[in-house]
Amino acid sequence: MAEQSTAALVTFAIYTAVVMLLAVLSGRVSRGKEFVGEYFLGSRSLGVWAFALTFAATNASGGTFMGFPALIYTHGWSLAFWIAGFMTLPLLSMGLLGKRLNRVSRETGAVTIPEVFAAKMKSDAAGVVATCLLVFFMFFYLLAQFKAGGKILSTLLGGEPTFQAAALWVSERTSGLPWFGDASGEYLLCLAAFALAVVGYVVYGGFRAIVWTDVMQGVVMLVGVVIMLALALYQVGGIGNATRKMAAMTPPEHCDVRVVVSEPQEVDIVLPKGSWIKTSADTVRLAQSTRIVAGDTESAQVAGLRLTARSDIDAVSMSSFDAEVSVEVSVEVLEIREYAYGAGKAGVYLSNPGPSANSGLGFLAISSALSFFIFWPFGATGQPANMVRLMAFKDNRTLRVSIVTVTVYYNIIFFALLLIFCCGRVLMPGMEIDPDRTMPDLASHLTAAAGVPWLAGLVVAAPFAAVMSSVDSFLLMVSSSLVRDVYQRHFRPDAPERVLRRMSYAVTTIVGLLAVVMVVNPPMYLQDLIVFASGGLAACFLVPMLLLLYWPQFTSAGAIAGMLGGTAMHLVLTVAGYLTTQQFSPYELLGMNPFVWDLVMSAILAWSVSIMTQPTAQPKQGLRP
Amino acid sequence: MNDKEENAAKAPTASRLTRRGFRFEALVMVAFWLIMAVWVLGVCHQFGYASDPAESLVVLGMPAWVVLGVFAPWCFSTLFTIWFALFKMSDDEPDAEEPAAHLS
Repeated sequence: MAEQSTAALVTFAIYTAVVMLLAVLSGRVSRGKEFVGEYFLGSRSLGVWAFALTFAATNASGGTFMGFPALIYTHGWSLAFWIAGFMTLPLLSMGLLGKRLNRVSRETGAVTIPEVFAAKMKSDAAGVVATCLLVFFMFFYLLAQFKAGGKILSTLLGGEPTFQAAALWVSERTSGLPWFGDASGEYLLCLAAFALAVVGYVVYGGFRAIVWTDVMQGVVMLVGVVIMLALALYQVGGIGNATRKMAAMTPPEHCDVRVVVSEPQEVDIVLPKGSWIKTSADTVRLAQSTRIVAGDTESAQVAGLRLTARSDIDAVSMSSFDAEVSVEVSVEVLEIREYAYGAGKAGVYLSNPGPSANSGLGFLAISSALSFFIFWPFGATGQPANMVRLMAFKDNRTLRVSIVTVTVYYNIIFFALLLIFCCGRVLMPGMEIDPDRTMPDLASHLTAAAGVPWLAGLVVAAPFAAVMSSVDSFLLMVSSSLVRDVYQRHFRPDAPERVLRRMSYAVTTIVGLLAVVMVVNPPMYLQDLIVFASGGLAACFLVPMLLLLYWPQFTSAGAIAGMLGGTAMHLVLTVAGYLTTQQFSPYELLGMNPFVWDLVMSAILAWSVSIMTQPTAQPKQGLRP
Repeated sequence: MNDKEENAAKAPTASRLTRRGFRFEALVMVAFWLIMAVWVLGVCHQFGYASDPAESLVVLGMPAWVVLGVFAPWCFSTLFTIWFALFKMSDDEPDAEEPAAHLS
């Protein structure tokens, strides 16, 4: 653990240094160019590799390398069906809007999505609505990604002695402070380091720095995944072997346990989270730390995970536990909570709907699968961060070749992740206690078993590269909307370049700092907010943008109705879901993802309002580029 | 307006043709997505929800439904994307375009 964390710390230090170097270099390239177009759109000059990799990296967030592996590990081969919509994602998300949006943005001189609406529809109102909705949803997204960055880094560096000492120092200094005092020193330190790096290079280098770092991050992700794939397949004995073993597996059981010793000890016995306890009857992993106080014979009741599959039980090594505690301990299982779907059912990891701890219908009902097949490609098409990139490629040949490049890139990444974590299911039992640790722990396990523990640093760089490449794009999108669409459009259209430059630097820094301060104590349901924000953005922008580009009779009133209609439906279903389940999860009408209904509502309103209203006649004066 | 001028006004301009080209390409992409949806959802629904999953057929080291319902269509989709993007999408470059109704 400490070895892996040291490798991760060294990797992070080198990685951050390279990112900063790229930002400095990109800043030099940007000198002497027109500021707004260069800072927010890289002067629309992206070539194939830059465009393809920035597009691919922006789409791959922390969820790709932390959440998706955790889902594969927990639910098995069902995730192949769940992710299948990605097969058409590059073609649709780049091809459907790419050429036309690039052309329209060049003709109108627009550098932001709200500006495209305002300029093309000749309507300030359309631009204002787009700006408000974009900033609203995007800020939630930004919060979630900053939190993910801090969490991933603290997960990776957790066992490193230097880091622990620094975290302790931070904890001591912040313990009495309001707001900051409630957060752990580890998380605060990682959040600060992550934010400093990202805000630093975004402020300094703007869009071009983001693109250059995205290219590096895209390469890091690919290399990390390919190394892990080779190690996983070798160590498990081929994917066929892994699948055969998964066929015999049954899901584990969540339970409450008490750790006991036969005789009182003279000192406290500390059992860290993740400790294995194996008896003749049970093999249990502790999901929480616990302690047997000196003179006592049992611990307090804690959560645990009881293995049920023979192959899992055989795979558990006692060595790590014995190293920590040198006395004979046993475990008393108090209460067992079986999986709601798949308990005791061999082969459940090979078939749909896949095992589920909470849902009696399993992980992936057919209606959910249909929803995801719609959501992945069309949801990505509707993301403003992707649309902005479509405004920045230099010519149509770049777009065409980039579609192919991203397609091949995603094929490698997603198939490799599927195979790796199906192997991980076999190699490393008991990760259900903390599924988000599956990626870093499997990287550590594979590289240690191969005798190259230092390689873990490179492999685990992939998740924070993914988060960084998303958070930088969102940060610049929020600041570009505030500077370009609010300040310049509504307060000072003739603002000189020098003022716009200072405003851009200041706004990017303030937005970044504000987001960091807010996620010091992240609001509840933050993970659900990611789903809420991404679905909301696509629901808001996809249909109006498609109609703007392809339907000459589309009106500004129709655009506003489409944006508000999709957003309203999204909010209504979210509130309905909360009222029904008392959880922050949207209501799934007819079992379908709310995104589908959002799009239907947006399309109906955009179309019907457009045919009832007249196109805007008065030309709107555009902004100075 | 004489016949010659009237015919010239009715004739499709280059920009109209370009917009039609954009639309045609978009329609092809959506139609392709629809075909893939039918393939993937049809096969996975038919073969992926086994009543006795322990007896699932394994092909190429993966469950058969993954090979037929995800891996094969993903490969086909990749080949189609390469063919369509490299050989069928046009390279019409930005030029002055006739304003749409909401611009006029």
